[in-house]
Amino acid sequence: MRKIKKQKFYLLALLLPFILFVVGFEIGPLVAMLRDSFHADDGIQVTIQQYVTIFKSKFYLQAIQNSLVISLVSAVISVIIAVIAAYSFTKFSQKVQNRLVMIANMTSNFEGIPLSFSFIILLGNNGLFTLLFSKLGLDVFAGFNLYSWTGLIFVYIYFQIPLAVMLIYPSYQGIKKQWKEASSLLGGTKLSFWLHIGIPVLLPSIAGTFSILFANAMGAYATAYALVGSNYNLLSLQIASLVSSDVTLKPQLGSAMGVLLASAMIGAMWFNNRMMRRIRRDLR
Amino acid sequence: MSYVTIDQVTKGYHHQVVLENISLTLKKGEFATLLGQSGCGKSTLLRSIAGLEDVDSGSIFIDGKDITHISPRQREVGMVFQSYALFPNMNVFDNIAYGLKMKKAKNIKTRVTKMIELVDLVGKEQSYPHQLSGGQQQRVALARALVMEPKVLLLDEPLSALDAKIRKNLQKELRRIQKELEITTIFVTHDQEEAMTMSDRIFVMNKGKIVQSGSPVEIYTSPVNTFVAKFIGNYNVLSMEVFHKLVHSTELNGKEIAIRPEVLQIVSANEGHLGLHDNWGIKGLVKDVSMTGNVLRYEVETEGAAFLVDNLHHKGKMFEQGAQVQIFVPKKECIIL
Amino acid sequence: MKTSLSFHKVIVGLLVIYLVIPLAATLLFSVAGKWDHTILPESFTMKWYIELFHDERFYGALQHTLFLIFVTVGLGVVIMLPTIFIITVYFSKWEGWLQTVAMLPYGIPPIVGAVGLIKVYSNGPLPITGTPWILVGAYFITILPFMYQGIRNSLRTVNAVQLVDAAELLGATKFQAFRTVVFPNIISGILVSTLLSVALLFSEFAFANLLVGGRFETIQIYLADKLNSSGHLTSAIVITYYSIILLVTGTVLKLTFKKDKVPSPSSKKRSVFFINKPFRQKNTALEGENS
Repeated sequence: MRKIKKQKFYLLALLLPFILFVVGFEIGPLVAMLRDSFHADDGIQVTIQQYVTIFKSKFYLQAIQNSLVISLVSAVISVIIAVIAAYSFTKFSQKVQNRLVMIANMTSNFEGIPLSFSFIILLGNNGLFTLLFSKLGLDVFAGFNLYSWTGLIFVYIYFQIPLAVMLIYPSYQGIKKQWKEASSLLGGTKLSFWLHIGIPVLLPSIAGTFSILFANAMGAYATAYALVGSNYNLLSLQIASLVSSDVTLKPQLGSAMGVLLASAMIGAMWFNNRMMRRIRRDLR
Repeated sequence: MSYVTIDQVTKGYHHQVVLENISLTLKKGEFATLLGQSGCGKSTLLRSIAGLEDVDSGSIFIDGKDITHISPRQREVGMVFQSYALFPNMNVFDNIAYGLKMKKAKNIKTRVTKMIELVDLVGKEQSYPHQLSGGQQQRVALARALVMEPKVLLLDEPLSALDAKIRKNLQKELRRIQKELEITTIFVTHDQEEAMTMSDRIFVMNKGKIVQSGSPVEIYTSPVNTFVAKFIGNYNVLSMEVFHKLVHSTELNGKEIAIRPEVLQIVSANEGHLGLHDNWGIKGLVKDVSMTGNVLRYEVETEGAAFLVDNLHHKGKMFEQGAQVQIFVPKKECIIL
Repeated sequence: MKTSLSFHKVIVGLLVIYLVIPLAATLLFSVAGKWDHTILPESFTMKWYIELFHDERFYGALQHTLFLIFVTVGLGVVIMLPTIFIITVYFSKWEGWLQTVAMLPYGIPPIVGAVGLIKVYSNGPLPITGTPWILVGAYFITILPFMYQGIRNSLRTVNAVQLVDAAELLGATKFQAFRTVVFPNIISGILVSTLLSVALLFSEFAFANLLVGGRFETIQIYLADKLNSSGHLTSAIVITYYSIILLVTGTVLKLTFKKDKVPSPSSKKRSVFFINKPFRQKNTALEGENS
């Protein structure tokens, strides 16, 4: 008996590095942020003032609103495109389908700074397309400003689409050919199949994907940073400047906003988790 | 002199008792089977003997040595798992040689080769587990355990993943090898037929307890309670009250009565008696009849009870559904529970 | 039916074009000489790449990034492998906790993680903000979900718990069991999550910018800094960077694809062969069989 206990002690010792890292760099900082968010600017007085400040300040509310809107809009558009595109995928041979998924996978890695840069050289003030189209006399992009809200959404959608396609495509595979056959044998039409079986089966996966895209956009920092710097009022950019810039250093306020952002993200992830569980149950 | 002794072993998970005061002894060379439905604790008991589970209280002895608290590797037991647990990165030879290498044994090559012959896998030495059929994989698993010359061989539903035919073959072969090596074996299964065919002794388990032990014949012909009667042989179990009414006699007394389906005789309703002194006759109606080849199984509805009746399949002697029949119950085959 | 297929072709075609255009344009831009009023560049040149490969700063940044990846992913494997193994095999009641802790970083964006890290490590007993060491810690947490899922799934696929049980009953110690029957069977699974982690860290910007910035310039910081200089040069950086990412993820795809494919006899053999690498030298018979 003692021997077994001694052995367990050694095993626990082997877990120590993991525990150190997790406490030091995951749980510890999160707790510190949470604690800090309930302190005044001096870092001593305990208060909920920081949250009050956020919800009273037009500027910060605007940042939250902008982040929410850009996340919602980019997620909705990307999901719609992905639902259509992934359905089109399934019409091709398996080999082509694999290629297409591979393209989606590869382009999903194209994000952040390099992506913003690509869009700048294409659609920026002196971008290739901008110059080209104006020379050709086409004013498709005349009213388009990459460094604005529309530009930002445009770029966000770009990096959301491959992700959305990769997340939604597998659930089309879950729709078995036999279901369609069974439905048509029972007298259903193509439309009624999608209405009563197809879409209800896809719905949890669509909802789950939406929540992931939403979270992805809420937390996105590099893309916005590279494209609009601090010219545009976004939650992630504000947090960054509150905790790291020399001008507006207000770590407690930044912590409070960080807590808000984290709550939104974890909420979205939790929702996705529930949806995924539902899919697994449905498709078992 | 007992070779394996399990003394009052108890184990629980989260306030739920899995093994309750289990005691049993085995003689050297015996083939014992733990039989029960899934969740009855039979696998847990086996894993406790192997040392893969700790017990809460009680002790386990093998060959006079208390092994209750020593690690699996020092217990000198061999085990074969339901899913084989072959090492996928090693070929047949290396799988079988693994234990000997760990022990730094001598003559590894000869011993492994001999074992491969014993389990009839000559020519497959260099194959990898995924290249073998399920039956072959199980032979490797068996050889891997046997080559260590364990004091006790533990088999955890080793045949249940195989299809019927291969399974029957392996049952015979397993028994042959076991007898040849005279190795004390504990076999776990939920299949009563398998248990009957293979064992010297059966321990029927239910809800963490051993409810009956004995030779296959003993277990089959004299179950001690309703559970065993139903689990072992599709017994017809009736309450004594109902039985008294059916046979218009109070000759037998007790709580319940159990009758095997194959001792019942079925004749047409207007046919005469069949040794009235030794049998009771009960009138009934054939509700259903099914055939498993050599046996016809009737479901006969009588006043107050349904009977299963198994009769050998003779040409021209078969009752259709809805037929009025009479069943004869031999008095000496009635078991009072 | 035919019209509907062409409809799907159009949809997929548009999508692929949309996804590929920015990349293609960047590639063209990086090899373009003069290009301002034509559809395709007027001349092509490799001078931007030559310039890039002569830039000491580029090599420095690349070196920093590779150093971080090497240290972090190395630590990730060395720490997570025993941790997950020990918890699944011996302390299975803690598995739920491990999963929560390991998957939490999925829900915490770097921008939030950075807030707490700056708070903890700016002063106090361990002032490592601005040094690469804080990035090692942050990145360890970043790759935690990948490492965890990869290793845990591999352990489950090979049914590690039962393999260890079997090995122990055959006289192996825990350590021997791990080394001889668990580890050789899971390396391919670990390799995939390792490569995924490499790709992820290669493109990490938020932590690098907020925690360390220019004091330990990574490839992403270097790129962000170059955004405002010559577009051609930056294109060359982007393409070089993206090629590396493609190489890494391409390898991942190839590996996972091989594993998932319906095992035709040849590919099955090959994948097992791959798993068996460390055992190959020991086993000449196998070599003969496969050659």
